[in-house]
Amino acid sequence: MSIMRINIGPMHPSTHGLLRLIVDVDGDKIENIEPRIGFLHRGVEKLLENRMYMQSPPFLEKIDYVAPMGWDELFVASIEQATQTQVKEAAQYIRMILLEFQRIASHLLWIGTFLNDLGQMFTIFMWAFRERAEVLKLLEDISGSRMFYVNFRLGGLTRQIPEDFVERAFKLTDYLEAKVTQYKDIIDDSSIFIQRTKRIGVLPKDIAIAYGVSGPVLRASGIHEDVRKSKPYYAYDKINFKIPIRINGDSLDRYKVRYEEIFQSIYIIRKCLDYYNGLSNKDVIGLPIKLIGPPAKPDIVITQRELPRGEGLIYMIPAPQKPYRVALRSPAFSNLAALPKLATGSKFADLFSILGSLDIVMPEIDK
Amino acid sequence: MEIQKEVLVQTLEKYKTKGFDYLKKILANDYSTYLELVYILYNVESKEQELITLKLNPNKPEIDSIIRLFPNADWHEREIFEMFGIKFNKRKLQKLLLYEWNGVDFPLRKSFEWNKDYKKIK
Repeated sequence: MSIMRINIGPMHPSTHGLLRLIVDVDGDKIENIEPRIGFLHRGVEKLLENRMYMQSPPFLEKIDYVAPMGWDELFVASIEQATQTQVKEAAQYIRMILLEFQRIASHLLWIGTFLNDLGQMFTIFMWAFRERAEVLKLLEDISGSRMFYVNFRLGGLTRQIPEDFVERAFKLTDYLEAKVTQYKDIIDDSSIFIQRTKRIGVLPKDIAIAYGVSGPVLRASGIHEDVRKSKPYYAYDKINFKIPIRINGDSLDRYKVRYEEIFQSIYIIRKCLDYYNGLSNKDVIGLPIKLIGPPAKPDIVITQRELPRGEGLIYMIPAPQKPYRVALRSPAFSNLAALPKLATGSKFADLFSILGSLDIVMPEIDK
Repeated sequence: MEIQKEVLVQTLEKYKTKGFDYLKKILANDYSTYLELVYILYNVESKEQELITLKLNPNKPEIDSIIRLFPNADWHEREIFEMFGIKFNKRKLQKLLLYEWNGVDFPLRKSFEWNKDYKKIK
């Protein structure tokens, strides 16, 4: 049979952003696939070089609009490392709580859209958005904004935490646990879902390492790697949480890893709330913004964080007022780069099961 | 660890046999008088991280590709070529990653002129 070339995107509901895929198919078998990226490139790295330190977090938030807090915190943490600023103890716990809530919100959105990609139209999508809205409501009350928070300052946060926060957060974790448990019945027992994900887009362990994928995609291939464990920050080493691991490396396993991560995040949040509740000093306010950055030490700074999509890394060369250079390692970039390897040889109809399971966010890839 | 550019592939091969088989990122820095490449390697078993750096001449920066060792270097190398103009030899695909019509200016170099390209757009 002859090879037919199909163009997908750049605007397509299942590509979650602007992504163009050029697919060569033989019948319905994918012979070759070439992702074309760059439609959302804004030169964030260059923008950061030309702004004072604390002018940059809003830019970082926009590169991952699904989980903006992750990148915001990563950048602020790298400035803290450069200026050797200590984060207040209460602020450390609050940051962990917020980041884990953000991870839950991101995974919920992913579950909803992934099921939509697979044709389970809008039931789970609406459920997941209902739960996500509750999380965003809490984050809004803390930061003042529903989506782009810009909530971190050197050494702490922008605002004091409300009195009833602990109680509300505990209630929210109970609510999430009860609701997300219900998903299991409708997703895991669905034969259509299983057929469309089991043994689809299998990523063996060695290939996962060779292609540098990270986060849930890596852990679904049986590799025990999580920055929260391998290079703990804040109080993650105090908390005895588990890292969900699966061994088959298919789309189903990538779903299961993310699903179980939601419950681990809930566990971490509850522990952090307990620790925070026991603190006598609940002050979390960070240093006031000074547009002129504090004197930075000249050493290179490397900061790593476990973002919802995988490992985020900032390599910064600090300079007195503005960073001399900031390089970002975005997890979705490496995950998408593995798509040709993953999808070649599978059926065309499975392409969006595979692409969806990678959980890509395009601005983060294009930077 | 800083190395000479001639021994890059050998060095990375040595590291790979030692268990550093996960390439996190390749990035470039422009120090005006020279360009620097940084390879961030990671050992998934022992959780160690290693930075390999090398210097390049900014006038004609060229280096051998490491796709043979780390397939995910492909996109990183293409991005660096586009942003810094560092040419990677011994690889098949020399296409740009982000903008197919770019390749004249290198935006992340310090000598990049702001707003120059806006004037070209009509």
